Amino acid sequence: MSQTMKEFLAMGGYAPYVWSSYGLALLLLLVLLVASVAGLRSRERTLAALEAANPRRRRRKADAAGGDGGEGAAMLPMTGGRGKGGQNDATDADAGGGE
Amino acid sequence: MHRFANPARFLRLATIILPWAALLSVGLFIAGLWLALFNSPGDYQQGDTVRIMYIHVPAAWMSMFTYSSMAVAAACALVWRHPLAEVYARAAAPIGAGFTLLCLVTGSLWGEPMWGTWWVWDARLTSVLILFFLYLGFMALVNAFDDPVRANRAGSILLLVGAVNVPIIKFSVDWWNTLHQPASVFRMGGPTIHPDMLWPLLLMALAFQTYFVAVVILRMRAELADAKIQTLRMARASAQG
Amino acid sequence: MMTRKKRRLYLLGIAMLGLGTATALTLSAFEENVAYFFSPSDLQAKPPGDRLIRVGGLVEAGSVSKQGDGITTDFVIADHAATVRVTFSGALPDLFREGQGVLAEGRMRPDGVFQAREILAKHDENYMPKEVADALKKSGQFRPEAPGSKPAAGNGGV
Repeated sequence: MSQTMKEFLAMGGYAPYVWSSYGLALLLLLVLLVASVAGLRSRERTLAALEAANPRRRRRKADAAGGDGGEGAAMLPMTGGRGKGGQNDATDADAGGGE
Repeated sequence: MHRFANPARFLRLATIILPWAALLSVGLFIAGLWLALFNSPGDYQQGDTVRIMYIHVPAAWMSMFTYSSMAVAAACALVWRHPLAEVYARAAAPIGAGFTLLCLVTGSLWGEPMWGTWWVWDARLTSVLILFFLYLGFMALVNAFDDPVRANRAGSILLLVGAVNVPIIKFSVDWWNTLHQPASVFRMGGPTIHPDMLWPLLLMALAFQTYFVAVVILRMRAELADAKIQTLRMARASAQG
Repeated sequence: MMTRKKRRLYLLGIAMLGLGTATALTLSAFEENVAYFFSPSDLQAKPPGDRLIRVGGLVEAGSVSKQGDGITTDFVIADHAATVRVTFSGALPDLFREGQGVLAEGRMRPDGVFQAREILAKHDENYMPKEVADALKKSGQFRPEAPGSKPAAGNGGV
Protein backbone atom coordinates (compact mmCIF):
# COMPACT_ATOMS: atom_id res chain seq x y z
CA MET A 1 0.00 0.00 0.00
CA SER A 2 1.36 3.38 -0.94
CA GLN A 3 2.19 6.00 1.62
CA THR A 4 -0.52 8.42 0.47
CA MET A 5 -3.10 5.64 0.62
CA LYS A 6 -2.05 4.80 4.20
CA GLU A 7 -2.23 8.46 5.13
CA PHE A 8 -5.66 8.77 3.58
CA LEU A 9 -7.00 5.74 5.45
CA ALA A 10 -5.50 6.96 8.73
CA MET A 11 -7.56 10.19 8.59
CA GLY A 12 -5.02 12.02 10.72
CA GLY A 13 -5.36 9.41 13.46
CA TYR A 14 -9.13 9.66 13.60
CA ALA A 15 -9.78 6.70 11.27
CA PRO A 16 -12.17 4.78 13.58
CA TYR A 17 -14.42 7.82 14.04
CA VAL A 18 -14.43 9.02 10.42
CA TRP A 19 -14.74 5.64 8.72
CA SER A 20 -17.40 4.31 11.07
CA SER A 21 -19.45 7.46 10.38
CA TYR A 22 -19.28 6.89 6.63
CA GLY A 23 -19.80 3.14 7.02
CA LEU A 24 -22.88 3.59 9.19
CA ALA A 25 -24.31 6.17 6.78
CA LEU A 26 -23.85 3.79 3.86
CA LEU A 27 -25.34 0.89 5.81
CA LEU A 28 -28.38 2.86 6.96
CA LEU A 29 -29.16 4.40 3.57
CA LEU A 30 -28.81 1.01 1.85
CA VAL A 31 -30.92 -0.88 4.40
CA LEU A 32 -33.66 1.76 4.18
CA LEU A 33 -33.61 1.61 0.37
CA VAL A 34 -33.62 -2.19 0.16
CA ALA A 35 -36.37 -2.49 2.78
CA SER A 36 -38.49 0.09 0.93
CA VAL A 37 -38.09 -1.67 -2.42
CA ALA A 38 -38.78 -5.09 -0.86
CA GLY A 39 -41.87 -3.73 0.92
CA LEU A 40 -43.22 -2.31 -2.32
CA ARG A 41 -42.53 -5.51 -4.28
CA SER A 42 -44.20 -7.79 -1.73
CA ARG A 43 -47.30 -5.57 -1.57
CA GLU A 44 -47.53 -5.42 -5.35
CA ARG A 45 -47.39 -9.22 -5.44
CA THR A 46 -50.11 -9.53 -2.79
CA LEU A 47 -52.23 -7.01 -4.64
CA ALA A 48 -51.83 -8.82 -7.95
CA ALA A 49 -52.80 -12.12 -6.33
CA LEU A 50 -55.83 -10.57 -4.66
CA GLU A 51 -56.99 -8.93 -7.85
CA ALA A 52 -56.51 -12.12 -9.84
CA ALA A 53 -58.61 -13.99 -7.29
CA ASN A 54 -61.38 -11.42 -7.48
CA PRO A 55 -62.97 -11.50 -10.94
CA ARG A 56 -64.94 -8.27 -10.42
CA ARG A 57 -61.70 -6.34 -10.09
CA ARG A 58 -60.06 -7.71 -13.16
CA ARG A 59 -60.95 -4.88 -15.46
CA ARG A 60 -59.51 -2.35 -13.08
CA LYS A 61 -56.34 -4.30 -12.65
CA ALA A 62 -55.89 -4.10 -16.40
CA ASP A 63 -56.37 -0.36 -16.19
CA ALA A 64 -53.79 0.02 -13.49
CA ALA A 65 -51.31 -2.10 -15.37
CA GLY A 66 -51.84 0.01 -18.45
CA GLY A 67 -50.81 3.05 -16.48
CA ASP A 68 -54.03 4.89 -17.20
CA GLY A 69 -55.32 6.37 -14.02
CA GLY A 70 -58.73 7.19 -15.31
CA GLU A 71 -60.39 4.71 -13.01
CA GLY A 72 -58.00 5.28 -10.17
CA ALA A 73 -60.22 7.59 -8.23
CA ALA A 74 -62.88 4.95 -8.02
CA MET A 75 -60.35 2.65 -6.42
CA LEU A 76 -59.21 5.23 -3.94
CA PRO A 77 -58.64 3.15 -0.88
CA MET A 78 -57.24 6.02 1.11
CA THR A 79 -57.28 5.64 4.86
CA GLY A 80 -60.15 3.20 4.58
CA GLY A 81 -62.50 6.10 5.11
CA ARG A 82 -64.57 5.44 2.04
CA GLY A 83 -64.48 1.73 2.42
CA LYS A 84 -66.06 2.06 5.79
CA GLY A 85 -68.63 4.45 4.49
CA GLY A 86 -70.21 7.01 6.73
CA GLN A 87 -67.52 7.01 9.38
CA ASN A 88 -66.19 10.36 8.33
CA ASP A 89 -68.00 13.62 8.42
CA ALA A 90 -69.58 15.01 5.32
CA THR A 91 -66.61 17.07 4.20
CA ASP A 92 -64.49 14.05 3.66
CA ALA A 93 -66.46 13.21 0.60
CA ASP A 94 -65.06 16.18 -1.27
CA ALA A 95 -61.48 15.13 -0.73
CA GLY A 96 -61.30 13.05 -3.86
CA GLY A 97 -64.58 14.12 -5.29
CA GLY A 98 -63.30 16.98 -7.38
CA GLU A 99 -62.01 14.83 -10.16
CA MET B 1 -55.36 21.80 -3.51
CA HIS B 2 -56.63 18.42 -4.56
CA ARG B 3 -55.07 18.24 -7.98
CA PHE B 4 -52.72 15.55 -6.78
CA ALA B 5 -55.13 14.00 -4.35
CA ASN B 6 -56.03 11.44 -6.95
CA PRO B 7 -53.59 8.59 -6.25
CA ALA B 8 -53.57 7.58 -9.91
CA ARG B 9 -52.43 11.03 -10.90
CA PHE B 10 -49.85 11.03 -8.11
CA LEU B 11 -48.58 7.62 -9.15
CA ARG B 12 -48.15 8.76 -12.74
CA LEU B 13 -46.18 11.83 -11.61
CA ALA B 14 -44.17 9.74 -9.14
CA THR B 15 -43.26 7.26 -11.87
CA ILE B 16 -41.77 10.11 -13.88
CA ILE B 17 -39.87 11.65 -10.93
CA LEU B 18 -38.51 8.44 -9.37
CA PRO B 19 -35.80 7.51 -11.91
CA TRP B 20 -34.59 11.13 -12.11
CA ALA B 21 -34.40 11.49 -8.33
CA ALA B 22 -32.56 8.16 -8.06
CA LEU B 23 -30.11 9.01 -10.82
CA LEU B 24 -29.50 12.50 -9.46
CA SER B 25 -28.95 11.09 -5.97
CA VAL B 26 -26.32 8.61 -7.16
CA GLY B 27 -24.53 11.36 -9.12
CA LEU B 28 -24.61 13.76 -6.19
CA PHE B 29 -23.36 11.11 -3.77
CA ILE B 30 -20.42 10.33 -6.06
CA ALA B 31 -19.51 14.01 -6.46
CA GLY B 32 -20.16 14.80 -2.79
CA LEU B 33 -18.14 11.85 -1.47
CA TRP B 34 -15.29 12.64 -3.86
CA LEU B 35 -15.06 16.17 -2.48
CA ALA B 36 -15.74 15.15 1.11
CA LEU B 37 -13.12 12.41 1.31
CA PHE B 38 -10.48 13.21 -1.31
CA ASN B 39 -10.73 16.78 -2.35
CA SER B 40 -11.35 18.97 0.68
CA PRO B 41 -8.98 20.27 3.35
CA GLY B 42 -8.89 19.23 6.98
CA ASP B 43 -10.03 21.82 9.51
CA TYR B 44 -7.42 24.04 11.19
CA GLN B 45 -8.64 22.92 14.62
CA GLN B 46 -10.36 19.60 14.06
CA GLY B 47 -8.23 18.05 11.36
CA ASP B 48 -9.82 15.17 9.46
CA THR B 49 -12.69 14.71 11.92
CA VAL B 50 -14.32 17.61 10.06
CA ARG B 51 -15.15 15.06 7.37
CA ILE B 52 -17.77 13.59 9.72
CA MET B 53 -19.60 16.88 9.17
CA TYR B 54 -20.41 15.90 5.58
CA ILE B 55 -22.58 13.06 6.93
CA HIS B 56 -23.66 14.55 10.25
CA VAL B 57 -24.95 17.92 9.06
CA PRO B 58 -26.95 16.70 6.00
CA ALA B 59 -28.50 14.02 8.23
CA ALA B 60 -29.39 16.70 10.80
CA TRP B 61 -30.90 19.01 8.16
CA MET B 62 -32.90 16.15 6.65
CA SER B 63 -34.16 15.02 10.06
CA MET B 64 -35.66 18.48 10.58
CA PHE B 65 -36.85 18.92 6.98
CA THR B 66 -38.58 15.53 7.01
CA TYR B 67 -40.33 16.23 10.30
CA SER B 68 -41.41 19.72 9.19
CA SER B 69 -42.84 18.38 5.94
CA MET B 70 -44.70 15.67 7.87
CA ALA B 71 -46.16 18.31 10.18
CA VAL B 72 -47.33 20.37 7.18
CA ALA B 73 -48.85 17.19 5.72
CA ALA B 74 -50.59 16.57 9.05
CA ALA B 75 -52.11 20.06 8.94
CA CYS B 76 -53.32 19.44 5.35
CA ALA B 77 -54.79 16.12 6.46
CA LEU B 78 -56.63 17.62 9.44
CA VAL B 79 -57.89 20.80 7.77
CA TRP B 80 -58.47 19.82 4.14
CA ARG B 81 -58.67 16.02 4.55
CA HIS B 82 -56.11 15.73 1.77
CA PRO B 83 -55.98 11.96 1.25
CA LEU B 84 -52.32 11.75 0.18
CA ALA B 85 -51.06 13.83 3.13
CA GLU B 86 -51.40 10.97 5.59
CA VAL B 87 -49.87 8.55 3.12
CA TYR B 88 -46.89 10.91 2.84
CA ALA B 89 -46.47 11.21 6.62
CA ARG B 90 -46.54 7.44 7.10
CA ALA B 91 -44.08 6.91 4.25
CA ALA B 92 -41.65 9.62 5.35
CA ALA B 93 -41.51 8.71 9.07
CA PRO B 94 -39.07 5.75 8.88
CA ILE B 95 -36.76 7.75 6.60
CA GLY B 96 -36.82 10.70 8.99
CA ALA B 97 -36.16 8.41 11.93
CA GLY B 98 -33.19 6.95 10.02
CA PHE B 99 -31.75 10.41 9.32
CA THR B 100 -32.17 11.40 12.98
CA LEU B 101 -30.45 8.22 14.18
CA LEU B 102 -27.61 8.82 11.74
CA CYS B 103 -27.29 12.40 12.99
CA LEU B 104 -27.15 11.27 16.63
CA VAL B 105 -24.65 8.47 16.02
CA THR B 106 -22.28 10.47 13.80
CA GLY B 107 -22.55 13.36 16.27
CA SER B 108 -21.42 10.99 18.99
CA LEU B 109 -18.54 9.74 16.83
CA TRP B 110 -17.50 13.34 16.27
CA GLY B 111 -18.01 14.44 19.87
CA GLU B 112 -15.80 11.79 21.44
CA PRO B 113 -12.52 12.81 19.76
CA MET B 114 -13.23 16.57 19.65
CA TRP B 115 -15.30 17.46 22.71
CA GLY B 116 -14.03 14.56 24.79
CA THR B 117 -17.46 12.97 25.30
CA TRP B 118 -19.89 10.75 23.39
CA TRP B 119 -22.94 12.48 24.76
CA VAL B 120 -24.04 15.41 26.93
CA TRP B 121 -27.53 16.43 27.97
CA ASP B 122 -27.34 19.93 26.54
CA ALA B 123 -30.34 21.58 24.86
CA ARG B 124 -29.31 20.74 21.28
CA LEU B 125 -28.51 17.06 21.78
CA THR B 126 -31.51 16.49 24.02
CA SER B 127 -33.97 18.15 21.63
CA VAL B 128 -32.68 16.05 18.71
CA LEU B 129 -33.09 12.91 20.82
CA ILE B 130 -36.70 14.02 21.48
CA LEU B 131 -37.14 14.37 17.70
CA PHE B 132 -36.02 10.77 17.29
CA PHE B 133 -38.57 9.63 19.88
CA LEU B 134 -41.27 11.68 18.12
CA TYR B 135 -40.62 9.74 14.92
CA LEU B 136 -40.75 6.42 16.79
CA GLY B 137 -43.88 7.51 18.67
CA PHE B 138 -45.62 8.52 15.44
CA MET B 139 -44.82 5.19 13.79
CA ALA B 140 -46.01 3.24 16.84
CA LEU B 141 -49.18 5.34 17.13
CA VAL B 142 -50.37 4.99 13.52
CA ASN B 143 -49.88 1.24 13.77
CA ALA B 144 -51.65 0.94 17.12
CA PHE B 145 -55.20 1.52 15.82
CA ASP B 146 -57.28 -0.98 13.86
CA ASP B 147 -59.22 1.84 12.26
CA PRO B 148 -56.91 3.66 9.79
CA VAL B 149 -58.98 6.87 9.95
CA ARG B 150 -58.50 7.17 13.70
CA ALA B 151 -54.88 6.06 13.42
CA ASN B 152 -54.05 8.76 10.91
CA ARG B 153 -55.91 11.43 12.87
CA ALA B 154 -54.08 10.58 16.09
CA GLY B 155 -50.80 10.53 14.18
CA SER B 156 -51.45 13.94 12.64
CA ILE B 157 -52.19 15.47 16.03
CA LEU B 158 -48.97 14.00 17.48
CA LEU B 159 -47.00 15.42 14.52
CA LEU B 160 -48.43 18.91 15.07
CA VAL B 161 -47.84 18.84 18.83
CA GLY B 162 -44.27 17.68 18.23
CA ALA B 163 -43.70 20.44 15.68
CA VAL B 164 -42.85 22.87 18.52
CA ASN B 165 -39.65 20.88 18.92
CA VAL B 166 -38.34 21.90 15.48
CA PRO B 167 -37.65 25.60 16.25
CA ILE B 168 -36.32 24.51 19.65
CA ILE B 169 -33.73 22.30 17.92
CA LYS B 170 -32.79 25.04 15.47
CA PHE B 171 -32.40 27.84 18.03
CA SER B 172 -31.30 25.82 21.08
CA VAL B 173 -27.69 26.76 20.39
CA ASP B 174 -28.58 30.46 20.42
CA TRP B 175 -31.06 30.52 23.28
CA TRP B 176 -29.10 28.53 25.85
CA ASN B 177 -25.54 27.66 26.78
CA THR B 178 -24.86 24.40 24.96
CA LEU B 179 -21.77 22.32 24.32
CA HIS B 180 -22.83 22.16 20.67
CA GLN B 181 -21.57 25.13 18.66
CA PRO B 182 -23.95 27.59 16.92
CA ALA B 183 -25.02 27.29 13.29
CA SER B 184 -22.33 27.69 10.61
CA VAL B 185 -24.39 27.79 7.41
CA PHE B 186 -27.95 29.04 7.99
CA ARG B 187 -27.08 32.04 10.13
CA MET B 188 -27.28 35.83 10.07
CA GLY B 189 -24.25 37.28 8.36
CA GLY B 190 -23.55 34.33 6.07
CA PRO B 191 -21.77 30.99 6.46
CA THR B 192 -18.63 30.69 8.60
CA ILE B 193 -17.39 27.70 6.63
CA HIS B 194 -14.64 28.04 4.07
CA PRO B 195 -15.98 27.46 0.50
CA ASP B 196 -13.71 24.40 0.08
CA MET B 197 -15.69 22.79 2.92
CA LEU B 198 -19.06 24.32 2.08
CA TRP B 199 -19.21 22.73 -1.39
CA PRO B 200 -18.89 19.10 -0.28
CA LEU B 201 -21.40 19.85 2.47
CA LEU B 202 -23.98 21.28 0.04
CA LEU B 203 -23.49 18.44 -2.47
CA MET B 204 -23.94 15.83 0.23
CA ALA B 205 -27.04 17.67 1.50
CA LEU B 206 -28.55 17.59 -2.02
CA ALA B 207 -27.62 13.91 -2.33
CA PHE B 208 -29.49 13.19 0.91
CA GLN B 209 -32.45 15.27 -0.28
CA THR B 210 -32.77 13.45 -3.63
CA TYR B 211 -32.32 10.10 -1.87
CA PHE B 212 -35.23 11.09 0.35
CA VAL B 213 -37.43 11.98 -2.65
CA ALA B 214 -36.73 8.63 -4.33
CA VAL B 215 -37.27 6.53 -1.21
CA VAL B 216 -40.37 8.42 -0.08
CA ILE B 217 -41.94 7.79 -3.51
CA LEU B 218 -41.20 4.07 -3.16
CA ARG B 219 -42.71 4.02 0.31
CA MET B 220 -45.78 6.04 -0.72
CA ARG B 221 -46.43 3.58 -3.52
CA ALA B 222 -46.17 0.76 -0.99
CA GLU B 223 -48.57 2.57 1.38
CA LEU B 224 -51.07 3.08 -1.46
CA ALA B 225 -50.80 -0.57 -2.48
CA ASP B 226 -51.29 -1.54 1.17
CA ALA B 227 -54.47 0.53 1.39
CA LYS B 228 -55.76 -1.11 -1.80
CA ILE B 229 -55.05 -4.54 -0.34
CA GLN B 230 -57.05 -3.66 2.78
CA THR B 231 -59.98 -2.46 0.65
CA LEU B 232 -59.95 -5.58 -1.52
CA ARG B 233 -59.75 -7.86 1.50
CA MET B 234 -62.62 -6.03 3.13
CA ALA B 235 -64.68 -6.19 -0.06
CA ARG B 236 -64.02 -9.91 -0.34
CA ALA B 237 -64.88 -10.53 3.28
CA SER B 238 -68.18 -8.70 2.93
CA ALA B 239 -68.96 -10.48 -0.35
CA GLN B 240 -68.40 -13.85 1.29
CA GLY B 241 -70.14 -12.96 4.50
CA MET C 1 -68.02 23.13 2.82
CA MET C 2 -65.66 26.09 2.93
CA THR C 3 -66.84 27.19 6.33
CA ARG C 4 -66.08 23.82 7.87
CA LYS C 5 -62.59 23.81 6.41
CA LYS C 6 -62.02 27.39 7.51
CA ARG C 7 -63.22 26.57 10.98
CA ARG C 8 -60.82 23.63 11.17
CA LEU C 9 -58.03 25.87 9.94
CA TYR C 10 -58.73 28.53 12.59
CA LEU C 11 -59.06 25.88 15.27
CA LEU C 12 -55.71 24.41 14.27
CA GLY C 13 -54.10 27.87 14.18
CA ILE C 14 -55.34 28.71 17.67
CA ALA C 15 -54.30 25.31 19.02
CA MET C 16 -50.77 25.70 17.59
CA LEU C 17 -50.50 29.25 18.95
CA GLY C 18 -51.56 28.04 22.39
CA LEU C 19 -49.13 25.15 22.27
CA GLY C 20 -46.28 27.40 21.16
CA THR C 21 -46.99 29.93 23.92
CA ALA C 22 -47.21 27.21 26.57
CA THR C 23 -43.90 25.74 25.42
CA ALA C 24 -42.17 29.13 25.35
CA LEU C 25 -43.41 29.94 28.87
CA THR C 26 -42.33 26.55 30.23
CA LEU C 27 -38.87 26.80 28.67
CA SER C 28 -38.28 30.35 29.89
CA ALA C 29 -39.39 29.31 33.39
CA PHE C 30 -36.77 26.56 33.41
CA GLU C 31 -34.14 28.66 31.68
CA GLU C 32 -31.49 27.92 34.29
CA ASN C 33 -32.02 24.17 34.09
CA VAL C 34 -31.89 24.15 30.29
CA ALA C 35 -28.54 25.94 30.26
CA TYR C 36 -25.79 23.34 30.20
CA PHE C 37 -23.17 25.50 31.88
CA PHE C 38 -22.50 28.84 33.58
CA SER C 39 -20.09 31.51 32.43
CA PRO C 40 -17.51 32.95 34.85
CA SER C 41 -19.68 36.10 35.02
CA ASP C 42 -22.69 34.00 36.06
CA LEU C 43 -20.63 32.51 38.91
CA GLN C 44 -19.52 35.94 40.07
CA ALA C 45 -23.11 37.19 40.06
CA LYS C 46 -24.51 34.05 41.73
CA PRO C 47 -21.96 32.04 43.75
CA PRO C 48 -22.86 28.36 43.38
CA GLY C 49 -21.71 27.12 46.80
CA ASP C 50 -20.26 23.62 46.61
CA ARG C 51 -22.85 22.27 44.14
CA LEU C 52 -21.68 20.19 41.18
CA ILE C 53 -21.75 22.65 38.27
CA ARG C 54 -20.29 23.27 34.83
CA VAL C 55 -18.33 26.38 33.90
CA GLY C 56 -17.76 27.34 30.28
CA GLY C 57 -15.61 29.97 28.63
CA LEU C 58 -12.33 30.44 26.82
CA VAL C 59 -9.02 29.07 28.06
CA GLU C 60 -7.11 32.27 28.79
CA ALA C 61 -4.01 32.57 26.62
CA GLY C 62 -0.84 31.89 28.62
CA SER C 63 -2.69 30.55 31.65
CA VAL C 64 -2.15 26.82 31.09
CA SER C 65 0.49 25.20 33.30
CA LYS C 66 1.29 21.52 33.82
CA GLN C 67 2.03 20.54 37.41
CA GLY C 68 4.92 18.37 38.54
CA ASP C 69 2.84 15.20 38.82
CA GLY C 70 2.38 15.16 35.03
CA ILE C 71 -1.40 14.78 35.03
CA THR C 72 -2.60 17.93 36.76
CA THR C 73 -3.25 20.99 34.63
CA ASP C 74 -4.04 24.46 35.95
CA PHE C 75 -5.62 27.08 33.74
CA VAL C 76 -7.99 30.02 33.75
CA ILE C 77 -11.45 30.09 32.15
CA ALA C 78 -12.44 33.58 31.06
CA ASP C 79 -15.34 35.34 29.47
CA HIS C 80 -15.27 39.01 28.55
CA ALA C 81 -15.97 40.13 32.13
CA ALA C 82 -14.73 37.56 34.63
CA THR C 83 -12.28 34.70 35.16
CA VAL C 84 -12.23 31.43 37.11
CA ARG C 85 -9.11 29.49 38.09
CA VAL C 86 -9.45 25.77 37.34
CA THR C 87 -7.41 22.75 38.30
CA PHE C 88 -7.86 19.33 36.69
CA SER C 89 -6.14 15.95 36.93
CA GLY C 90 -6.59 13.76 33.92
CA ALA C 91 -6.49 13.53 30.15
CA LEU C 92 -7.55 16.63 28.24
CA PRO C 93 -9.59 16.41 25.02
CA ASP C 94 -7.73 16.87 21.71
CA LEU C 95 -9.31 20.23 21.09
CA PHE C 96 -8.20 21.69 24.45
CA ARG C 97 -5.90 24.64 23.77
CA GLU C 98 -5.32 28.22 24.78
CA GLY C 99 -7.79 30.68 23.34
CA GLN C 100 -10.32 27.97 22.60
CA GLY C 101 -13.68 27.19 24.18
CA VAL C 102 -13.73 24.83 27.14
CA LEU C 103 -16.20 23.43 29.61
CA ALA C 104 -15.31 22.19 33.09
CA GLU C 105 -17.54 20.09 35.36
CA GLY C 106 -16.79 20.07 39.05
CA ARG C 107 -17.10 22.03 42.30
CA MET C 108 -15.88 25.36 43.59
CA ARG C 109 -13.31 24.89 46.39
CA PRO C 110 -13.41 27.18 49.43
CA ASP C 111 -10.18 28.81 48.19
CA GLY C 112 -11.97 29.98 45.03
CA VAL C 113 -10.30 27.49 42.68
CA PHE C 114 -12.62 25.34 40.58
CA GLN C 115 -11.82 21.65 41.09
CA ALA C 116 -12.78 20.03 37.75
CA ARG C 117 -13.48 16.33 37.48
CA GLU C 118 -14.18 16.44 33.73
CA ILE C 119 -13.04 18.76 30.94
CA LEU C 120 -14.84 19.02 27.60
CA ALA C 121 -13.62 21.08 24.66
CA LYS C 122 -16.10 23.34 22.92
CA HIS C 123 -15.44 24.49 19.41
CA ASP C 124 -16.89 27.45 17.55
CA GLU C 125 -18.82 27.70 14.29
CA ASN C 126 -15.75 28.54 12.16
CA TYR C 127 -14.40 25.93 9.76
CA MET C 128 -11.41 26.61 7.51
CA PRO C 129 -8.27 24.95 6.17
CA LYS C 130 -5.10 25.37 8.21
CA GLU C 131 -3.42 27.47 5.49
CA VAL C 132 -6.31 29.94 5.50
CA ALA C 133 -6.20 30.23 9.30
CA ASP C 134 -2.42 30.83 9.15
CA ALA C 135 -2.82 33.46 6.44
CA LEU C 136 -5.53 35.21 8.45
CA LYS C 137 -3.38 35.13 11.57
CA LYS C 138 -0.49 36.64 9.64
CA SER C 139 -2.59 39.49 8.32
CA GLY C 140 -4.12 40.07 11.76
CA GLN C 141 -7.67 39.40 10.67
CA PHE C 142 -8.03 36.23 12.67
CA ARG C 143 -10.63 36.68 15.36
CA PRO C 144 -12.64 33.47 15.57
CA GLU C 145 -13.68 34.04 19.16
CA ALA C 146 -14.14 37.79 18.90
CA PRO C 147 -17.11 39.25 20.76
CA GLY C 148 -20.11 39.14 18.47
CA SER C 149 -19.08 35.92 16.78
CA LYS C 150 -21.99 34.47 18.69
CA PRO C 151 -24.40 37.41 18.85
CA ALA C 152 -27.37 35.65 20.42
CA ALA C 153 -25.45 34.03 23.29
CA GLY C 154 -27.72 34.48 26.29
CA ASN C 155 -25.33 35.41 29.06
CA GLY C 156 -21.99 36.01 27.51
CA GLY C 157 -20.84 32.40 27.33
CA VAL C 158 -18.52 31.11 24.70
